[in-house]
Amino acid sequence: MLALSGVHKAFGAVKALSGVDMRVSPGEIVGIVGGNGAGKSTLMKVAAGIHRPDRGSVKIAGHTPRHPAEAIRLGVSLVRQELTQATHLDVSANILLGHEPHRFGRIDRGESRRRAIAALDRVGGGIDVSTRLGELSPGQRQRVEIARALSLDAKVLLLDEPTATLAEPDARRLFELLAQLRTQGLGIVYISHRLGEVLEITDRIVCMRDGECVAELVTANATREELVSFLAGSAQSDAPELPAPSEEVLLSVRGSVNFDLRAGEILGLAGLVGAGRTGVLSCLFGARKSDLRVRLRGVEVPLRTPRDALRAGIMLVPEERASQALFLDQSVERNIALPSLCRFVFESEPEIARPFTRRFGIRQGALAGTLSGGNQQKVVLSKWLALKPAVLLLDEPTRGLDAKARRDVYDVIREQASAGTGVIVSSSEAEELSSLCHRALVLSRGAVSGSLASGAINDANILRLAT
Amino acid sequence: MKAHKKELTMLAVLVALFAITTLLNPTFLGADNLSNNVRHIALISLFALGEAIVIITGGIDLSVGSIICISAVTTSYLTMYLGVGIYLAAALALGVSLAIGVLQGLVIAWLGVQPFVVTLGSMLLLRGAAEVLTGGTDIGFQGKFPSFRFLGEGTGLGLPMPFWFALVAVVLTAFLMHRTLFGRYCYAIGSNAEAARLSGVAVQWVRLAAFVLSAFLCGISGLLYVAYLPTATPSLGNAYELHAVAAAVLGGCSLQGGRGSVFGVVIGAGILQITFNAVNLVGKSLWQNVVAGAVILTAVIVDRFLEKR
Repeated sequence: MLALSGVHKAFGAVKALSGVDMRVSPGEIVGIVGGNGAGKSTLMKVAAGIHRPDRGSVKIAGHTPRHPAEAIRLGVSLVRQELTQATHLDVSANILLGHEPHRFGRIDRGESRRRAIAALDRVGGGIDVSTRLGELSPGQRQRVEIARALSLDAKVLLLDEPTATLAEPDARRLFELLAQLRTQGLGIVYISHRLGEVLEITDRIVCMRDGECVAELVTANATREELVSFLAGSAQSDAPELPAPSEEVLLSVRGSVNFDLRAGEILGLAGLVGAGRTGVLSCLFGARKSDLRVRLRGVEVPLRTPRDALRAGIMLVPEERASQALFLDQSVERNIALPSLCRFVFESEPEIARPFTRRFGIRQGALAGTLSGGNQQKVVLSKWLALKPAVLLLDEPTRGLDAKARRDVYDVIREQASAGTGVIVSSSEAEELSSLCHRALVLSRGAVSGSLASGAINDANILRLAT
Repeated sequence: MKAHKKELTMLAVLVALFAITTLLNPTFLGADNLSNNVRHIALISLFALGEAIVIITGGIDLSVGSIICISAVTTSYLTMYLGVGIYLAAALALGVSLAIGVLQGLVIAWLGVQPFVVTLGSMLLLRGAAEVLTGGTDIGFQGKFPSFRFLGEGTGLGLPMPFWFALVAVVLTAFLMHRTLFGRYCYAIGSNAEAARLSGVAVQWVRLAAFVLSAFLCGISGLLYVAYLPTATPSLGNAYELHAVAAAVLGGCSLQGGRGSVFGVVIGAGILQITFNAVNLVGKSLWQNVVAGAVILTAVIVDRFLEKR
């Protein structure tokens, strides 16, 4: 159905793909795994006609797509991520955008509605077509996207990190839907960093590294360890023992949530999407108004703005790197140094940034937008490390990161905790919290519904407390 | 210097324009004409600098021309109708300009109304106020205040006085934008306002300051215009906000914010003024706007192609 052979693609001097082959047949799910910068997303964009390959060929049912519209017509649809949807328009407008039924330019509203409903039925229904898209949950929005692709007669669906923003039940629902679409004869390409998912739902797995396919496995015979070794190119080290936190209470929070954070403690925040994890962190950083009373080493800290929090040494690595933490069109140095600048005249940006660019191997002078997700996250971390945080708040710190970058982020977190920093990590992955944290709080509807010791952090316990 | 590629392209365009104009009409190189060009480039640079600061923070200021007019009209009204001393009147006019900047900045930064809408409103309001104040007619200095008029008409070290004002403004603004925290914050806000806020930047205060600076530079321009002309008309500064935007964009500012340099704005002002002058010298002054528009479009399209390559 979809066949890529010998595809090469370079952006300037950066080789994104060098000689990749991939085939997708009707009725199969192909998983693609690989680190950041391995070329997975580029490969998808080439398949969807967004990028043209420098060399090699892309064939959809024997034809070469020259632009995205043609790829869609031939039956290959990239399921866009939520950022690219028209959130102000309603569900049916989003499903039919660009191929509305019309007569002489006047949109046939009855027919639009019928088609939108028919498409939604194929993805499980339960969504009103006249709702504004912005009011739906991430999971619902994603189903709208898939409905859109189906209404365009897609034969092959391309999904890029579809579960990155989904809570567990929504992800489950997506897997069921994909299995169902497979039986209807669709070919599906599934990119994810979550190896567990890929092993669970795919038929075949393609491992990519540095723009090449390094292995192709039949899922039934593949193991997690095998995948990790292909991706990292080296064996994974075991997590080191964490030193116990000190007795000293560093941060005490009272109000709608109540907890104490000790110096050197790594505290997890677990809970479903919408449980208020991001809200709590935003409030602790002063980015959102709240009634929380916060004491740092016994001294009350007013938290009206992020500036107040920063003055006290409380720093947040927010959930959305690109839109909340980075200046994509500015250099790495400016990104790292911005909050540290205090002199009137400065030549000091490179000096502030150098220890970090050197440590993390980030190219000096690069624009933040040109970095891989992993390096971008390291830039965000560096920005705060340069200020020596007293309390470090991290919201989904490894979202969209590959195994290697994750380990680097974990190393930074552990190192900070060993140095006496209090760390709060919010994550939707139980595995991450259990390997990283001393203990985790489970949030439900904006309040703490329970606390789990490191060994007891798992999906079952979190779900029990979260619902 | 990759970062300044855009500015260098535009510098090349400016040099080319200079050469072409000389070929079309050698009187371009005459002392009077050159001096006149320097004066106007200086005046355009002055108010375009403020516009550039606002654009770099991701905003836009459409009230530029109207503030220039209000500053000029206030000065002549106070002196000619109310008998206020010229320098006191000039100071009051600057005060009015600053107050306008503060009000606009407050509404934009604290109430979160879009800069386009706010400054569009004050553009109309202030232009109207100037018409009401003058009764729709010109208010001339009638030969008075030679020392004040010298600031607009006169020369120092052989160069028009506005040149020296612009030089000071350019140097100070360049320092401010490229060497101080305030400048860094302007670029950061234009690049990603939310990330700036979450990095501890006092976004609202920086936005306010950008609009105040723009209004202040417009106020100064207004004074220099009235000193030079030497009369205040209610149509003074008409469409200058668009000249300011054009100079800023030609100079490498992005209307998305986060990009641009002070050096570039001066080049942009140069391109704009020499185009106007060239059309006049060829004797086709009705074509002034047509040619200026075409130059702007050509310059940014060429730049786009160079950038893509």
